[in-house]
Amino acid sequence: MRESSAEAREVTLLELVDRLLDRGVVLSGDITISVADVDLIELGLRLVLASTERVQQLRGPGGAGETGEAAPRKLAEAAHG
Amino acid sequence: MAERVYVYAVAAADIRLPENLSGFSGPLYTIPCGELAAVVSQIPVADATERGGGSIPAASSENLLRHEEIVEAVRAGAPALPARFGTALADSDEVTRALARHHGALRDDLLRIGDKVEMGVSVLWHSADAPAEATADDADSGERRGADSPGAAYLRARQVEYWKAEATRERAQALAREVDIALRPLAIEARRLLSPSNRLALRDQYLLERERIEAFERAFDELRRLHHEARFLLSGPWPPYSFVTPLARREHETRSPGQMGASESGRASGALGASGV
Repeated sequence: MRESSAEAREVTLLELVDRLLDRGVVLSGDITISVADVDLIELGLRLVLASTERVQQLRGPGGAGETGEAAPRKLAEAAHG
Repeated sequence: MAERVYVYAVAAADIRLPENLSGFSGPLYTIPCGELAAVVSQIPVADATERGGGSIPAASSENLLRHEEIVEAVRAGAPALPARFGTALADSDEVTRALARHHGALRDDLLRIGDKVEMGVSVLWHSADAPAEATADDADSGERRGADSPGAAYLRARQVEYWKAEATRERAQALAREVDIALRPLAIEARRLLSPSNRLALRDQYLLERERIEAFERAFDELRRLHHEARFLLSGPWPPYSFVTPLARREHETRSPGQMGASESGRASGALGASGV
């Protein structure tokens, strides 16, 4: 994961939250998630409220030569082309 | 010590796991069943008297990233289906039973999407363009005309709101057609939420062959360059979480809508509102 941009990391987390908590294979009918981390909820809300502005700051290195899923550019608004 | 089995992914029975990869606690290993295997690690049960997810890692940023890293590491070596965060079963037998019960569906999914990736595309309206809520001004203008009762003013405001939503939806549809032309041919499958909120024009997921990632990124950049009326966001490549076929559930296992972490006991501690931007 890219650490160079806190915003990029937060937006990436929002995408991550959406996928990991609501999609994917569910082998058990008994998934109980403890959202002990209030920061995660706050993170979501903050992004909902301010997504456009925050995401605007995400312009940055797209990272070259990435292959595979672990590519650092998980979410980025592509720089001006 | 009591332990539970936490599932990260479902893969083929003969999968070779990357070396030195550990789970939340303890090493990764597989539990095979037929042609399939669950990729798991043991997690300690913190308190045997605690119900449900007492032992499941909290859905913290750190743990979500860890889960994702493990899934990606597994998938770097072989096709695998990503498991939802928080999938923990009582023991190996329960995992085996679950694999056996859903063997056909899981095997089909593994063949269909096990080696594919998904890309997320979100299109947001610029804040200035985002349709406002029906404002006090809308209601005031009605009252200034004098004839309106408060009820009529309210209805008028509601109608204005409706028109704005309709107009926004039409704009979103027009944009969606452009997005389809540019991106859809590169994808195997696509999922879309059209105009899911005031700020979002659309939110798409695309299932891709890995070899198509670069072409997809180029097409996205071109699309974004041509459309300044909205803000285009690309994410991925991700494991194909969004394209996993929901497994048939037994009656008592169905989750209540809107509850993200509902266990059978009805305990829902995880009602995150973060899924829609």
